[in-house]
Amino acid sequence: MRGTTHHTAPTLNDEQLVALVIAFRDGDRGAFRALYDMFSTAVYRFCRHMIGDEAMAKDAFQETFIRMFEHRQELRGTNVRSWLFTISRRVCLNHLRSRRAAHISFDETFHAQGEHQQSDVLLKEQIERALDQLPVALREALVLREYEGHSYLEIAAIVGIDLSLAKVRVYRARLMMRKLLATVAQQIR
Amino acid sequence: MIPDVLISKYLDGDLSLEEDVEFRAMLAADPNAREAFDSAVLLHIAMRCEDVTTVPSDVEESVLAFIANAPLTVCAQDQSMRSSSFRGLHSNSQRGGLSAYTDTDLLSFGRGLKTRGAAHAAPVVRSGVRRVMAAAAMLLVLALPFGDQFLGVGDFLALNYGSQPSKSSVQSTGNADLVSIKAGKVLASEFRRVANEFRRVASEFRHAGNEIDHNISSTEIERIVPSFADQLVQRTGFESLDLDANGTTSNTSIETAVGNSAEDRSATPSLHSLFSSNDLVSAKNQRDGESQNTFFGPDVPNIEMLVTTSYSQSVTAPTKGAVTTISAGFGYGVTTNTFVGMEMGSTQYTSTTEILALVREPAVSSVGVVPTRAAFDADRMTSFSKVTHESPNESSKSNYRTEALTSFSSEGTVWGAAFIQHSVLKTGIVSLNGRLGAGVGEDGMLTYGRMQAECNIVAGVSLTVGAEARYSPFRTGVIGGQPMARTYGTVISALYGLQVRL
Repeated sequence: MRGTTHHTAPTLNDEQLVALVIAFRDGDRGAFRALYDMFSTAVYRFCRHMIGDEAMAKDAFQETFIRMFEHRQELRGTNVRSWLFTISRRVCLNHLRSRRAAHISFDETFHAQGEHQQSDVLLKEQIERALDQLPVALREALVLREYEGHSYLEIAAIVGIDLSLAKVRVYRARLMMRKLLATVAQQIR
Repeated sequence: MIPDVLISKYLDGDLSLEEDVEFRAMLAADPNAREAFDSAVLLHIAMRCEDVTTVPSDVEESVLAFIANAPLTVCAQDQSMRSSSFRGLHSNSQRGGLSAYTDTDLLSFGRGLKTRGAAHAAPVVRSGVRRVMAAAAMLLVLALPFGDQFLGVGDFLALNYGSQPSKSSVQSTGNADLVSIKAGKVLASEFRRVANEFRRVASEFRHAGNEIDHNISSTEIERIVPSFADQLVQRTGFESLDLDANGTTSNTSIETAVGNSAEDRSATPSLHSLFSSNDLVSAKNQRDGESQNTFFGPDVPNIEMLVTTSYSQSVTAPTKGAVTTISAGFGYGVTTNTFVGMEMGSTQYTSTTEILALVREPAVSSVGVVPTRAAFDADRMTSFSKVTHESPNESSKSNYRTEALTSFSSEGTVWGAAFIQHSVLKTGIVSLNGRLGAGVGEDGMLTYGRMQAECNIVAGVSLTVGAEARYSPFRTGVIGGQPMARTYGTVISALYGLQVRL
């Protein structure tokens, strides 16, 4: 069932990837651009799902890649994807904290719309909104798993938790999403 | 197995053969499970088949512009050594994404790697040098306050025993010094060992001297005295000086005999600690002040260093779950039985909570209707609260089912503390130590008391086993990895560890 439709970047062989990473660590902007092209879409999507706010997601996205470049010498190994998502996760959490401090109010239109929209559009919008209702820890696990197709091991590494806890979080997130969206799902079916 | 777990495993493709059979049977038999499965698959597909996402062009431009102008922190030498194969890449990338690179471009990364081995080794070497320098700096910081207690203390050591034990022999020979011993450069720890041996021999010698005075002839004295000198030399392993046939030194001053003259002292470099700035002068004063039972040498107090590690596992804790702590510390002996030091560690809170929740089935009347905000909230609160306060019997509109949710959580904190440790009981290779500590952690201040038995295994290495009571902030609940509340309480733990005395 695992989809790979999100990962559209061309694959490199090991030697090319190692060379690319080394060049990036040395500050080569061309190498940065290559990595940017490989991961920017996934990172942007991750930021958007994590934060749920377009403007803040843009900020988080920019900050992620700027941090990536500034901290390039801290990259160990060649697993750029996990490392980049670790950075992005931290950035998103910081943005979420600042948003929480600003007390952004609940979107009152959450349950009052949708009757006039196509069912798939409705579902995707409701999914976005339900995601926003999940605790951050569950949300990040679910986004990494479902949207980005990360393995549980990668999720555990990115979030900094045990493998078993990563599985539990994804499980709980799926359960909560289903309950949050039970009515909408019934409508569509 | 719980249907939701099977559904989640199915979505991950992790169902075993047996689980797959169970899963299919469950779907066939249980309409609720089928409904849950349909919802799960619908959501799964909806999330996986996300619309094509594109990074907004304004964001992309600003990121790339920032990176293009960002200063590089790598040194100029590295920049100049950068392969030309990388230089052209930026312009290539402007053509649009990695797909715009030709295979030649990408392969050039590989060639660059091979030809630039030396250039890439440089940062690694610099990193290694930094680590070595950091370690050296740390050793220096440790060495400065207590340097000559543990490191080299000079290039001489002179031991001297006075004449007291045998009055008759002293009077007959006119010598006050029976034994002098000299050694080359020594460590303070070695000095302490020799000094202890010296004291032990001196004690035996004094005892023998009493016997001599009362019972033994002067001929016997001449036979016995050298034996003590030989014994001392043998037990300390140091070179003996100026012992004449009677085992006594000549009238030459000890200072000259062992090379402890003022010139020698000034020529002897010594690392002085902050607490003992002039050990040689101290030694000289000691010699001048009393002539009996003294030894000459650096003024080294009997100080010890302690390195400890411990692992503790909670026996009782205010939270449901386990609290484990791993720590390491080092301390300096301020007296023979008392150490003060610092300890650092991390405490891990793990808990498993099973929640039995009453979950309301969707009301029949809500099918096909988007609920109002109030209705949705009410439903959500009922479904997700840990324990519902509404009894099924109180509602005539809904059906309920019991659902078990298992929650695992694991959170860690780091802390540091200062401690004082005292040996309250010593018998053979076993001693009983008490330790009190106070410090601060990520969640706040903490204090602890510890009693541990220390069993010496070999040399200064001991195994410790004991118990600890810790009054500290702890996390009362963790939901989704996020600490929900903190409060203070006492955690009692069993612990074991290693302790090394240097």
